[in-house]
Amino acid sequence: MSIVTIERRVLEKNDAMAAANRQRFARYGLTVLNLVSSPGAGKTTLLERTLERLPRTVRTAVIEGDVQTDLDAKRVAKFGVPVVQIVTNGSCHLEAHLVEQAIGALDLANLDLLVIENVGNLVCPAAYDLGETMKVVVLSTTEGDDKPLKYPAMFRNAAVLVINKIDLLPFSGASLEAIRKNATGINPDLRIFEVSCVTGEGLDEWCRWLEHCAGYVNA
Amino acid sequence: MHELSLANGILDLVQEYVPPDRAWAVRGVRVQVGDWASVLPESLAWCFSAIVSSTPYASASLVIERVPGADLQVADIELEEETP
Repeated sequence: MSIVTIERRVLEKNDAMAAANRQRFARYGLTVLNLVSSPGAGKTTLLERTLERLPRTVRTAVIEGDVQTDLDAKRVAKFGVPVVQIVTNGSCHLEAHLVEQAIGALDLANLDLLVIENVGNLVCPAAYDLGETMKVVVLSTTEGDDKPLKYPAMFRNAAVLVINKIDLLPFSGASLEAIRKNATGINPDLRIFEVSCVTGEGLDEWCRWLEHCAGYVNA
Repeated sequence: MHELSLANGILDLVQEYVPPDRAWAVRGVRVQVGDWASVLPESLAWCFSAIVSSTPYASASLVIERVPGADLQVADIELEEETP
């Protein structure tokens, strides 16, 4: 027997493409969010409520990733922002080369904020760098407060946690305190927002922070 | 769910180091799976055996090692010396 040493990462092609994307975004001073969650946590609704509130001075575009359909792109397009739909045709996550193709349709020089809504899945998108500035994980209170413990990789890789559907807390039996404790136990640096896209609670604070990220407000 | 595309990535790396005329010699492909890599080892091994079965690399199988961290890396390839 002989041994051939390889020592190379399986995802090195994706990572190289992600690095190229990141360089391109940096050239335009663009803040890029990779929005991740399980299906139904409310990523698209959060995006809708956010686009309603963000001042037009924050020039925003959206990339929508879905396994099938352009339903989300249609929802987001109503807010008058550029939107590109990626249909993965069965694949459970976005990859850096798909994002590279999608940004070809966007005028990056005239944007401040790009939101990439990933495929709803708390597992695989954690492993694929897209070149984003940060991952934002959305967790809804109806999913239960133990999700960070069950899907630690995603919460570890994210910079921000948005706890959505806080209006349903009385019915879901989940505890905000437990969600916070479980999430920060995995990632103490997580910045956490608590919002309801139905009552609007917490959305102003979230949008102010986004404006700050996009370079419009001093924190 | 993404183990199939990862298995394809592993086969790509194997092909880069071992040309098809030596494919028969490949035995264990040692892969290090990080505890945070979001990879199910059994599923990855199964996907790999499924995709190599129709290629000259059918004798290859994954030898999976769990390691700390989030990386997924091909460490080395074990080759049979003699001609078949």
